[in-house]
Amino acid sequence: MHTKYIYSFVKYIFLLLVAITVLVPLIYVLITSFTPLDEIGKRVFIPDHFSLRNYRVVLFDTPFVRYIGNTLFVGIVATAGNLLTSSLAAFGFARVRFPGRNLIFMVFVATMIIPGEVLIVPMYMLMGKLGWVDSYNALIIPALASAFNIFFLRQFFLGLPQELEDAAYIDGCGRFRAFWNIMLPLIKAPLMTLGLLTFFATWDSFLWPLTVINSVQKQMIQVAISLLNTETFTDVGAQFSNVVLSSLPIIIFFLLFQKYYLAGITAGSVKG
Amino acid sequence: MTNQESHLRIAGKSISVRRRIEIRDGYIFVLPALLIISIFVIYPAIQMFIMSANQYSYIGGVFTAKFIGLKNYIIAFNDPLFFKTMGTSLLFPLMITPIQTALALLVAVLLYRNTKFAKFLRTLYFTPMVISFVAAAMFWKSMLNTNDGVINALLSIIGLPRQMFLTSPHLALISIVVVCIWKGWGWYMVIFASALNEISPELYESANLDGANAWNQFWFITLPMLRRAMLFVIIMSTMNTIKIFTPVMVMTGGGPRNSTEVIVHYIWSAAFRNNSFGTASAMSVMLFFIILLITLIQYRLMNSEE
Repeated sequence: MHTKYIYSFVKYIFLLLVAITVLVPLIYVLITSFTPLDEIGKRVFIPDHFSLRNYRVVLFDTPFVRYIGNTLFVGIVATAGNLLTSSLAAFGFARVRFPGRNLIFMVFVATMIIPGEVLIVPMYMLMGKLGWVDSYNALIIPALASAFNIFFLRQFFLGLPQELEDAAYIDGCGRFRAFWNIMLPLIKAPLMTLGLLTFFATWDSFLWPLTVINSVQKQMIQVAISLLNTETFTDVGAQFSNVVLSSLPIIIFFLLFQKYYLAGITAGSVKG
Repeated sequence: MTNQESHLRIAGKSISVRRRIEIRDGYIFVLPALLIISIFVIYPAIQMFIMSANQYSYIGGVFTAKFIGLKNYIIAFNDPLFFKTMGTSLLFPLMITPIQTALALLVAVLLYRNTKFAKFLRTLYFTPMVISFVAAAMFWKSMLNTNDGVINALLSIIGLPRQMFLTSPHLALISIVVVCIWKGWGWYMVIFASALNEISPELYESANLDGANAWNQFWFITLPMLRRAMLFVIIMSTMNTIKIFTPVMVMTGGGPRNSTEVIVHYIWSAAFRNNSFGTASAMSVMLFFIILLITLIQYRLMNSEE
């Protein structure tokens, strides 16, 4: 009986230590974001005063709201377009028979091995040829389809009963009506999951916008906040409030749609 | 007789019209995705190989290419920094993946029961994963600062000397490794947690009847049942850590003295700081083959499981 108590004691101490390591940096960021500039670094944790100065600076003296707007715009357009294109293709691969179908699908699956990072240099060249450097075209159009999303949605289309589709044809629907009105609503949950994963990926994107977007006004949020971290800009307080403000929308999103988001992580194992 | 024949022919024809419509529809459904993936994945992938055989010069706002064969590869091979950064990038998974996997597995097993408390803790542990890597790297950089970082302030309170976490070559690498582990392990914990949920409770019940203790149950039931999830986690973690870019870019810029320079950042700097697009492409090709090789080995391992 004693060993059992010792076991649970050690277990909870361990879980507590992990929680502290995870949480303390986040709490520190939150507190520092409310600390007046001249007190940052003077006290270890709790400052003598709290102030909203860091938030005022970020919200009114920097184009923060604009960056959030840019990122929301790119994220929403890219996600909506990607879901449409990917679900169309997934339906085609799963439920329409046409010559070359398996070959094209296999090529799509094979492209998943290519990491986006190695394509940055040729992609930048391509954007130069298309005249898309420093344009949202470069952020949105290449993101309008992804092999993983097609692969993922295809599994769900494969699982739908043929009778449902046939019933739509008997009612005189064409294939596109059957897809849009009957089949697509049946895979709402996986669409939601993929939508969240795609939107989060756009929100977090850093390497590609850093490479292809030059105008400060057009910048995406992650690049914009990283630019606060240079020798020329040394407002430490604003850095912390920026981190909090830019993370807030995504944390709220996560808490609201946690179920769908976590479903996406575990469903990702299908890929392997 | 003739009547029946013509009827059959019409039937046959109507099927083939329907079939033709199906084929047309199939291509229409797939076409948009096919265009996007061909232009923005397959074409650049081919272009990467072509670019690696060219030298690019930037004259009057236009890139002009000159074919130089394998010279870019020779330049890369004669660059000691290329090997050093590739080595650092391959070292990352060796340092990060075992710790991340072990921590994720341990916590997932400890939180096995789906109580409210366990769910709450899992969400809490997941938060570093939700915030962006740029944001995380930014506040860790500030916290690890030698002069006014909070971690050094805490160290001096307990009487320890200040550490140059990001400015000494040895510590900088370790600091980045720690931040990567802190940021990423929650993701893998969720994968283990869902794999644990799929193990049938009957296995444990019968083990209990046989008198197996907790350790034996973990060793002979949990671990073997988690092998697939484990391989998946190891593959994901390896791939993600080889391609690390953001924390290096934000926290150290590859320094001090190139101690934290990683391959993706090195390629990026070669292309976009030094305009060596050809050499950067040659290094991308080599990185691609290394990643491909690791992927193939890991898939082999995974398939030999089944």
